[in-house]
Amino acid sequence: MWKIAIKMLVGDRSKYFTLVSSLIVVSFLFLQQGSIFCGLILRTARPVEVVGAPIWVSDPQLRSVDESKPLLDTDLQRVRSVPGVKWAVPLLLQLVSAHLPDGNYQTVRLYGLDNDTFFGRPKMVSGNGRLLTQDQAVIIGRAESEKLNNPKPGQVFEMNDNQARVVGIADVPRDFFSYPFVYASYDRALQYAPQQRKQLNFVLAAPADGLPLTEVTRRIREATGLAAYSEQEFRWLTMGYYLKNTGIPISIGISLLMVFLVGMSIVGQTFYQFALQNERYFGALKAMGTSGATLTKMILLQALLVGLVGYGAGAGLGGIFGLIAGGQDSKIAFATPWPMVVISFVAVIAICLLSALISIRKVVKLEPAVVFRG
Amino acid sequence: MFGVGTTEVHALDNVDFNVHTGELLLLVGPSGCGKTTLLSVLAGILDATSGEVDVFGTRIDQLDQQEKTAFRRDNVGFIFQQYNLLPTLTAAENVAIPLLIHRVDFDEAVEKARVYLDRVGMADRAEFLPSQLSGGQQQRVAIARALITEPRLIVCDEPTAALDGDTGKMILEMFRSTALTGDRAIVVVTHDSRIFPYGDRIAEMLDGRILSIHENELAPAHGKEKVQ
Repeated sequence: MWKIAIKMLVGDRSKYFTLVSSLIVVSFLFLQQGSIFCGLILRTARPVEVVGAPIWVSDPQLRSVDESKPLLDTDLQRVRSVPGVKWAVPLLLQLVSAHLPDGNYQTVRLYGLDNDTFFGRPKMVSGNGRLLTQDQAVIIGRAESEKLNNPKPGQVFEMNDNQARVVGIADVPRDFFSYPFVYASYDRALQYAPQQRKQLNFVLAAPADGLPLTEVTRRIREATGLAAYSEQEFRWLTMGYYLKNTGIPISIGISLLMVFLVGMSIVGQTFYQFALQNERYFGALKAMGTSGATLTKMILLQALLVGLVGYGAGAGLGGIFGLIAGGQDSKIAFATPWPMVVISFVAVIAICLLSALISIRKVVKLEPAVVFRG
Repeated sequence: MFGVGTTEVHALDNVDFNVHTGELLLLVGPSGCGKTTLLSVLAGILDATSGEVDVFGTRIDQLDQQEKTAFRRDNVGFIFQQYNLLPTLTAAENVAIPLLIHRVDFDEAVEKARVYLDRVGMADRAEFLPSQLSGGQQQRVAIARALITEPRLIVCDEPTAALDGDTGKMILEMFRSTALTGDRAIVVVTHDSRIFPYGDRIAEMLDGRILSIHENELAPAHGKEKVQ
């Protein structure tokens, strides 16, 4: 009977079109809104990602990478002395104000990299990253560089009354706050950042070969009393902070809820209309001996079919939107991790199945004698 | 009986009759006299408030809904006034439905449907949609659908109501010649006097009661087993 179910649905072109097009829109909006949400939240952790350090050591009260709770300079040596730590380097990471040649000011995210290893130096697009050793040398991230008037290697600006000379442009993605990224040596960055009693923001470290990350971070915590996170953990700490302390989840959550409810309303009404208009045919099927269970399965199959078709097309449109609008350098934050795909799919199928229940109830309760009422 | 208290309606009142296999029984009477209700009770799609309904030795009044559904599936064929052919299926697919309900393979069921369409003279219209068929053609498809599982009881509700006189007579003639066999009973509800000559017996109803059942002198009676 499943072929009959499909033909009943697909043959009624207007209903089928209404159902599928509604679900295409629902699927697209779900994925699009969900992807924007994911894109925004993932961007909050960009400052962590771009460094690539296996272990981040910070003040235990720190709630995100954007907070400034500097460590003591001696904390670097303390971390280095923990058994299982292969290496540890300092990182200065602060928001500072850049004074541009045209007189404007622009807040930038300043990375002060270890003087010896320059660990965390990004991949270059132009210029020479090795020139970071030179006096006043800085590297600018390509994304948001328009806010610094698109500097080229050799151009100069100021931070904290100290000159910064661009020696290269790096392939660095946008972050949540859309600040340009500026990289300098640690000592140079100390001059660019406003003077404070403590300047060391983070210690970056790596586990010794063969030791699990979790073991080394545990040892660091126990030995130093500081917080020690894997890169993943620190990313999630930062993302969690913005999830809890901003309106992003609620705003997008409300949008998604509206999409879900509107989708259910349209799809539910259409399925119900379908059941009403086909009442005598369902009655005839019942009279001829089709069980309620079989009719239920037929309707569920119809719901699943439109769900799959609608989701496939809607997700495809969402993907095209992402390709056009998204990307790491795009101003539109758009990311579609696989859980988002799964959640959207489940939501769309839930809409279909819940909507189908409305017509299932109608059909199962239908008296077959209705076919004998002229 | 429908309704309760002051809204009680006796759709059927002290009905006592039987149908023999091998015969075509006409249930006649004015609108609202209970013909369709009686048909529905006989076919197992309405429950009698009281009394016994014995169909080929099975007391269908004692069956639960699932058992009644199974009974109809295995023993009853239906022909409806408005044909009730699914509009998005071809004639062959419509005829195949009772076999599909029996979980026969789709292609096998459609193939068998073509055989029955041939029996009713509709082989060349097997791939047509109902909307592409005339009323008489649709009713012939409906007859093929009712016959395909070779049910022992066929119930028809006003099969000629939507047809003109000549077409209606043609349908009943074909129906008698293809459907009426020694081990099958056919009950036809009608108020179309033009088809009265095609019944073996005629049961007249009024206000939920059977006034009379008499042999139709124009058609011979057959049959050994009773439906009552």
